[in-house]
Amino acid sequence: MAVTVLGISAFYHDSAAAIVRDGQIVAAAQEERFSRKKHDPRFPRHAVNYCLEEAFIEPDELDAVVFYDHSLLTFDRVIKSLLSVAPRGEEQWLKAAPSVLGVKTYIADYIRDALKRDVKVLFTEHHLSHAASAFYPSPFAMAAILTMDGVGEWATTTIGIGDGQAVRLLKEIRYPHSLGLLYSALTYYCGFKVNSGEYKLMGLAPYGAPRYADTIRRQLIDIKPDGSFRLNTDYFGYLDTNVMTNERFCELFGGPPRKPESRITRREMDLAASIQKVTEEAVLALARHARQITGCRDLALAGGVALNCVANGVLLRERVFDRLWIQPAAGDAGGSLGAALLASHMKFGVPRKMHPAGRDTQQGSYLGPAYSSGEIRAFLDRSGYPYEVVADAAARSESIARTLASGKVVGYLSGRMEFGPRSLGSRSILGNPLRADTQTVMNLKIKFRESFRPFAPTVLAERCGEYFELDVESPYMLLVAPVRKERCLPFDLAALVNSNDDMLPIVSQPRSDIPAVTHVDYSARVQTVHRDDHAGFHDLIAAFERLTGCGVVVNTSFNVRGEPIVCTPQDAYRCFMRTEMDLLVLEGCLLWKEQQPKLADDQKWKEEYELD
Amino acid sequence: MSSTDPSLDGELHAFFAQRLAPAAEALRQRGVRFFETAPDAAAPSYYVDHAATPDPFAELEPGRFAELLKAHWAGQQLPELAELAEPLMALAPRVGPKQEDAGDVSPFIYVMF
Repeated sequence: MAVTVLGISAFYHDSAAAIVRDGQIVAAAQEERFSRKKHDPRFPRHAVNYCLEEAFIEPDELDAVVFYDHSLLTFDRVIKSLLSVAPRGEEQWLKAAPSVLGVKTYIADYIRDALKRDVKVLFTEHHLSHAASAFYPSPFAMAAILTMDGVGEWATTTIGIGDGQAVRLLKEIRYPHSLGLLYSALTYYCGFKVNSGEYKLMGLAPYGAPRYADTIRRQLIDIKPDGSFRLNTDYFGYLDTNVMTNERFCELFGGPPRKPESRITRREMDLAASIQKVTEEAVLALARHARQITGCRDLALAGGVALNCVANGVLLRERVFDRLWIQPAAGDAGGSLGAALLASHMKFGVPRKMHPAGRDTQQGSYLGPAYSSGEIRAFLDRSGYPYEVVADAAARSESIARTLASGKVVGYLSGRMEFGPRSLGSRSILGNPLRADTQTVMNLKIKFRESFRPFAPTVLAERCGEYFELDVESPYMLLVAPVRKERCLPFDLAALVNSNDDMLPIVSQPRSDIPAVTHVDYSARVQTVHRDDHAGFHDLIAAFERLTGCGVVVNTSFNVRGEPIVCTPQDAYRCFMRTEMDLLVLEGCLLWKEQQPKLADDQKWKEEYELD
Repeated sequence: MSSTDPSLDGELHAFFAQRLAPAAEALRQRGVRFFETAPDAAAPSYYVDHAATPDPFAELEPGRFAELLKAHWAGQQLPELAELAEPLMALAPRVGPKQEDAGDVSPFIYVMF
């Protein structure tokens, strides 16, 4: 009999479900993709339904449902944190009590009610879930494991080891000392949203100079030579108020936090550069210690901080470990997958099966729903949207590549949806990396987001070394690497930044012969695509290369600012029509913008999505 | 996430003032600290060993939550907290949301969730 386990993460943010059969990942998806509510924290009923459908099973065929977090220990931490500051902290209690005293005290019953079956419900530790999500799908038989995030139950950072089918945590750093919370505090202070704006802060960092790094090291965080660290909580608000930072924090950095959506100034750029530098130092030191205490040659990473692909790139280049593998759903959504894998191997004793060719078993992270051509055509016919069927895959790739080569922007839905926050060629917006104006056009006219934010390249895996100083695969867009020196163009960032806080002139300056994907520090957040993982996407880029000589395309997530990445053809069509994309590809169907009727009653669509 | 019902806020306020704050004071009098709040230059390392359990999986049945919480705190020699387990769980049905909350967790104090 097969062992089938459903993992669930929920009730915090980025709810998700994952299903694992005999240790093999069958499906995984985030609830936000179905509910269309970004970072949806609710019970992932849609994602669970999808996982059960993909596995062709009913809930009573599950061997167990595993929740990714130990809610009793989380409750313990919340109460002890409150008692540590009481009689201060009442404001926090009033705000948090309905949640901590609510569903989190009866999760097992909630799950049974939702599934309408008396299933076995297990709970495991938050960081053990992260560790399992990092190790089991990795290509490593044995590896050190490093998990870093805001906070789990008590742990905020752990070092562990994976060996065969066992995962063990060895050491940890505990709340309230947290790299994730430190990064989030700076994110908040710089006017970005906590839990989603961290990525923006990382993207902003290359515009600045790390002139606050010493202040951060001296006042906010003490990092020991072994990588362990402790924060000075006098500067933070999260122990006793409803905000991340406090007056002392503001005094340290010369004034109040930046107001969201206001102009970004040199202070924010320099703060971003500073916290990024300190984070990289901490991650490197943690990794060195992990290597020392485990003796392992390879490292598996997860937890929200592992989405810091700039730090990951530094870690790779420093060669602390021979190889790195980073769980693409490194945040809490990935906890559902880790919980299911952990139970499969450590509760039910399913032997771990490695990939026969030595690759990972994450399947390119294409673990979500796919839509057949029949389903798509039925939708388009029913709606009366004009489309062209190009059934021949090679001809389709050629047509899309020609469109990209002419400077147009393409919405691309192909195959199973990605699991994790990055679009990897299944739900992507694609552009031409050779044009200097692509970044501005895509940011302002298609994504409706801040002009400074860089775009990522997807490169044919076999061509990666021709464009980037990266000698390993990066299938999940989690490594930042320098663009090869011979491709770079002279560019004086300091002069431009000093002359004007407006970033548009900066981002419009070409910095390499692939300007749209070269950040201001000549770096790029690289995705390598292997034909085995996504043949259609690989062939499209190969066709683009035949036309232009360039084996790279711009790849950004298929959504607008504040919107979850599209899931269905309907979502994709709506997003396509609301933006200035030129072509929409829905599997074998091509839809040209100029042929489409206007969306009726859709003038106020921007109000649907809260800005991230 | 905060309650918009003044009577619930009143109940939560009373619980904080009458149960949590006195427990905090009692713990403080006893010198109990749950965590350090500032760096220690003399400490060689801030790591602690992970407290591994033989079985990494727990069964947290809602009907036993108060009992498990009480045992957890009693096992840590924290009678002030153990005494709070049942009152906290008695409070839960009254202040916990009846429906699942569709709102965002406050990003500013997410450590509380």
